[in-house]
Amino acid sequence: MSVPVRQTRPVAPLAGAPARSVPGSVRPLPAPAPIAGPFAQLVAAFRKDVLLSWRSRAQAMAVVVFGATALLLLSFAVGPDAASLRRFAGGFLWVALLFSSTLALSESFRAESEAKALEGLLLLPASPVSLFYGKALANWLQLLLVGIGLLPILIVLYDPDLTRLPALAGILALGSAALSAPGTLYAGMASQVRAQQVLLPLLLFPLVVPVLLAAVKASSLLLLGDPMGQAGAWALLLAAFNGIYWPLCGLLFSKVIEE
Amino acid sequence: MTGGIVIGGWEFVWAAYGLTFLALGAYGTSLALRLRAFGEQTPEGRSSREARDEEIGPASAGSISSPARGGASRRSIEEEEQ
Amino acid sequence: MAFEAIPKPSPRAPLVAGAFLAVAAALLAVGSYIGLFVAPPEHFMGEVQRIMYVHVPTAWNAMLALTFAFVCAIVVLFKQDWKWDARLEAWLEIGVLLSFLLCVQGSIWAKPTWGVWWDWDPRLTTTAVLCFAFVGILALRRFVEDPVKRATWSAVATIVAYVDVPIVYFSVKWWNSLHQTQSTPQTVASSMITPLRINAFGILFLIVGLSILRSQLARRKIAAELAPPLPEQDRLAPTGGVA
Repeated sequence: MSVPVRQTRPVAPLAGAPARSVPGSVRPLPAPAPIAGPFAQLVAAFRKDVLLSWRSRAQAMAVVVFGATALLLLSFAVGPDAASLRRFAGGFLWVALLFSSTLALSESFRAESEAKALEGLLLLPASPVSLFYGKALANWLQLLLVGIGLLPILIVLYDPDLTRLPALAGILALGSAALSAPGTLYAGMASQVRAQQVLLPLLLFPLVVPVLLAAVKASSLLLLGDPMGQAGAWALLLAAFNGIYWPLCGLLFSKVIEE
Repeated sequence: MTGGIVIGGWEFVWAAYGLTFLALGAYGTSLALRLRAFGEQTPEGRSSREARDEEIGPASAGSISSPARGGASRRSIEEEEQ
Repeated sequence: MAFEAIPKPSPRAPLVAGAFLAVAAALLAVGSYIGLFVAPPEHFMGEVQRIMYVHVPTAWNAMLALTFAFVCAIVVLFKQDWKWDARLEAWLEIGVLLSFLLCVQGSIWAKPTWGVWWDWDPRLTTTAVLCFAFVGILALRRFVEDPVKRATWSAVATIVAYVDVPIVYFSVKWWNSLHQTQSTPQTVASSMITPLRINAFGILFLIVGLSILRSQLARRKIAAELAPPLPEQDRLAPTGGVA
């Protein structure tokens, strides 16, 4: 592909169409822009997805509200006993985040599926790997923000111990990253199929069981008190999951979006 | 928790073995049946039917005789039965 | 995409499969007979322990089936050959079936032994998670209509799910070790190894035979999808001309 495409500015006017109507003169084609390196492609893809999310931030807010509703429902399911609610706070947070993630992840491919932007992306001289990482990073950011958005509700409903809040934010970061990598891969598949609502959770949830276990354990320890300092070990498990799946999903993404 | 001696329990053993072999046997049987159904629809099945029809075909392409018309109607009934 | 050659069914395959299944039936008959009637009952668990003679072989073969599926998935991505996609479909289905049976057997074993149907044993819990994961991949295959995408995506999903297996096992084991005080017995007395091995090979031959049949079925389905059999042509009417 030698079509030069600049990804952040509008396309230059067609070469050959004279700026002034000087008969007989033809402007030469502009020199093709050099194809950006992979890191620049990644940044561009990331910026595109963040920009799209920002433009539809009402939808992103709705995802947070959905997560909060899920928290509420889970609390109703367990009952008003404050002590047991506090014990389960970590679990509730991550179940709510997991459910919200299916919404957020399918949203991230909406332009590709509805506006047929996928073909456009494929025509770009950008490698699918960069596209994946740009999108996965954008999804990570979004999931992290949803998690942080749920924290105030968590604090109000369950009255946990707040001394280790920064560490909790760290667990949120690791956990949402772990959800984002395979989630972006599967959302890419699901967006191209008709039964997309069902397919994404069906594929993603069994896969991320280790993430759920580790994140819930770590969050519970941080929210309730961690006398033996075990939270770090669970964080390590989350880091290991990330370490395996971010490279693997990046490698496999090209197979998912090629025609 | 490392309990004492469990007495009896043969019904559990039969249940486990029975369900396992029943499930595997049912799966294998369904595979065999589905393969056979496929075999009838596609090439082997069709080519044997075509071979039968070939014998009747040239005879009917010629004269309009009652055996030929009888052959033609037989063929069309066969085709309707597909 | 290089998925070019439409797979042709192999005429000898059902015979080979039949041979495997016959050997499997013999092995399983012998192994089960020994396990049920000849081997001595175990000290603590009594007769219920005999479930192990079918449970442990099923466990080994379930993991083997899923490993074969993983290998087929990798080959599909590299060679892009329909035959390997057919084999992938076969091993996925067999892997799911065996994992499901494993959970059923585990529950049947747990009830008389621990009094509960499910005790969150790490190996069984991992099997249950796997079962769900690979059922999801089978569902993926049903939902995708384009055959090339179906082959590629199910290969990708199989690789991703298989890599998760040790992670799930380790995390569940660790998660449960904080509470678990019971576990399934590890050591097997020598008199018990024989029926175990015979049944293990029996189930191995069984699943190899089943996979041959299943992949033949998958080949025919793919061939029918890619080059659907032509509708029966109307024969020339006796009085008519060319249609």
